[in-house]
Amino acid sequence: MYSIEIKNVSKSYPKDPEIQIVKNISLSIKHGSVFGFIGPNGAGKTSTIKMLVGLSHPTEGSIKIDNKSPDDPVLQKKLGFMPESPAFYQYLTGYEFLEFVASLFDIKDTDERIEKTLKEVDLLHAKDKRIRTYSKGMLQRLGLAQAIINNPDILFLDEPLDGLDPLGRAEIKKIILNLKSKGTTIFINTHILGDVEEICDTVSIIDKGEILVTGSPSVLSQGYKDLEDAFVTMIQNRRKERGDILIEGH
Amino acid sequence: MIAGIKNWYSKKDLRKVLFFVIPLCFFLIMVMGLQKVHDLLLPPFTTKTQFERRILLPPEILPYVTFGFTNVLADYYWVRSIQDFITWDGKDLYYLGYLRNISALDSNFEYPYLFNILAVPKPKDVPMLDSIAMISKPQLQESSPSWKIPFYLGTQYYFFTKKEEPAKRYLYLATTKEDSPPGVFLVYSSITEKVINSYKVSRDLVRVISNTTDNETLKKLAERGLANDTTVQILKKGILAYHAKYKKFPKTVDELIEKNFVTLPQGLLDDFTITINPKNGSFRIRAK
Amino acid sequence: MKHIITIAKNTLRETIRDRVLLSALFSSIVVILVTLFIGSISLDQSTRIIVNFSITAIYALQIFVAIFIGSMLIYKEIERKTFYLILPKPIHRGAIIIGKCLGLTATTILVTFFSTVVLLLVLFIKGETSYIGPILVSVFYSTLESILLILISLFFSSVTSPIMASVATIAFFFIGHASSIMQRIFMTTESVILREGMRVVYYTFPNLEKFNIRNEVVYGALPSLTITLTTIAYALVYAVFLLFITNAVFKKKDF
Repeated sequence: MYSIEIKNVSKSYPKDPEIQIVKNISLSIKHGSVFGFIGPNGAGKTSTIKMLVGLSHPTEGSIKIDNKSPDDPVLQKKLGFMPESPAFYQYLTGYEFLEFVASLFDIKDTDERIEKTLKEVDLLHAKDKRIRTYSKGMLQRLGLAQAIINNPDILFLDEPLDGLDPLGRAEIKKIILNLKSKGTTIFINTHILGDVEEICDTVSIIDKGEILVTGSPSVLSQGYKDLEDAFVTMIQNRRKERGDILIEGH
Repeated sequence: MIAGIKNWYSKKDLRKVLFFVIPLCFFLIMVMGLQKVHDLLLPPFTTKTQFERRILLPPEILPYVTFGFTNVLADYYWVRSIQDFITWDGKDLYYLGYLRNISALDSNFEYPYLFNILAVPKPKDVPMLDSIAMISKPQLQESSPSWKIPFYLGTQYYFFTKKEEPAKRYLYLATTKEDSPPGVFLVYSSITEKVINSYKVSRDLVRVISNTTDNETLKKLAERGLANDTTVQILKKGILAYHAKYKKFPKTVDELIEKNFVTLPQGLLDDFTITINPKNGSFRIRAK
Repeated sequence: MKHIITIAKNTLRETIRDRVLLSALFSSIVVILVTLFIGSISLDQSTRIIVNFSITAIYALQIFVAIFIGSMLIYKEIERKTFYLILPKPIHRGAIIIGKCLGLTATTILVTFFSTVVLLLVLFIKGETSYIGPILVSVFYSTLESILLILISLFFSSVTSPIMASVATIAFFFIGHASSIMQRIFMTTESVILREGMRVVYYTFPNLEKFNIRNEVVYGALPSLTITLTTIAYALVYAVFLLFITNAVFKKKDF
């Protein structure tokens, strides 16, 4: 049984309909697995994740999450999403923001849930401080907190470890692994390959809107020094085939 | 003291303050000086400025270009007209553009009509009064509820011409309005019955105005109308004659009457109080 | 419904912190107080001047909120990407639009309330209490107008930049108050194209002059109950129409 099914999805924007941001991708992600979507900047990772959470719509193809459309409010109750570098209402405190999010999920035991979530992301000490006073790391944690406050079955994370120091990254990874152990399906966009090897069950490499390969990190690394080497080589080879300009020396 | 200041600020701090304060003072003095030079170059400031023909949009298009701000535009023209009245020469018909525009924007705004009828035309300036009557035409229609506008027009025509027509026409119009007070009917009937005592008619006209408004300005203007009446010209002549004989002005109107310099119509002093300024001989008539 | 209220509360919280709004409210109150001086040079028409200028200042404040703050509302969320945290939540996009509209309406009502209280205090001090009823009715009418303008600016805010949204909303404002020009044209012109074109514009664009009873306030005249109910019904129907097309556009929008 697949949690997330992406079939022949393409995406282009009305301003430039000839340029396809995502080209005919197909993916099937199992329940309870952690899926890593890796690629260089501008590969189409964020565009894909936006389609998965209903922020945009595919130009072609279909997306089903638990057999429902991403726009379905019933599905959205079980879904969590952390965007890249999340932006908040600066005048609210961390607690007030999560209170606002909790009301959108119709969560009943709001105070307890907020306290529990803040504790989980280690932000309890800053709950009454205005968000505008938060550091980059705290903002990332708050972004994760609003994504998991509803105890989602499916979680989408776009660059969750971006801008974090090693300690912060270790803590976030711990939370992700904890969620995985509870059976949450997790879809992660990232370009930090070391973390991918640690936490992901399956990985897809995407470049210029095309999926190059999908498999477990260990399988993909076979024949290469490590996953990073596999990533770079595959992308370079694909760009050669397309006739794109290569970066010398890599 | 200087040593104290020096101790308070370090040399660096003092330099910082001076580098800020000195240029600031310099520029401030320059600005004030330039303003002074500018003022000296211009003609001297005076409240007695010339009547300025301001841009007035044509009344025909005005209601269509207010975009929801009709009420405040009418008020703006009213306030503007009051300010310009002070500098107006009393002859330039351009001034009536304000009334035209107010009429176009808010034809129910009665007060500007009344003010213009009483204050704008100089005594006996019938053409000016005719122009105002023309502008007031919408308010003189049968459907218009205002009795004051035709009544005030009729009053002014009576004071200016001392003839029945057109005063009778306007006074009759005033009697047809629903809210007309009894005084209007009394005055109208006085004119139609050809009562010889023109002072009585004048007095009654002014009395109606005074009794039907709380507005002090309108009362004063109406009383001024009575002051321009022939009867009161007698008072003026009497004061001048008194001054010619005694080289001073009378203190009260009783002095004029006792010494036979004036003979006032019977009943005038029952209805009005006349006060004379002994310094310059000017007088004021106020309804009791 | 609960989600709409949540969004509305959040929008209210966000907009009342806007310094531009607070400056506009302050300016409106200053204008109301300054009318005391303008009234003194109006030759016994001070009450009329105070009432007219003040209700116009309140009206201008409402229009300002609707046009300039409304045009930023959706655009700001898109630009700052705060929408990325809300849209994937179990909330209909239509509920977001309604919530935003309600929130900004609440802001408008709040600033209107404060400025109206100042006006009523000024009139109370002057001993003029006969205008209170007509003033409140006039303010109610102009609030209905501002709700329509809020919806128009929300629509444009979701499809274009704030500057273009403001320009477009201002254009609708002028067209809405030019109903008498349009009527005159289609009643008097001989050109069929112009006549029918004007007729279409007259009947389809929001007729904002319906909500203008400011001229009658100083005469103490109140519109009849029938007229009031018709006006409220018109505002309601047009608001639903605007919400419908805004929702249709917003639903399909990619972020």
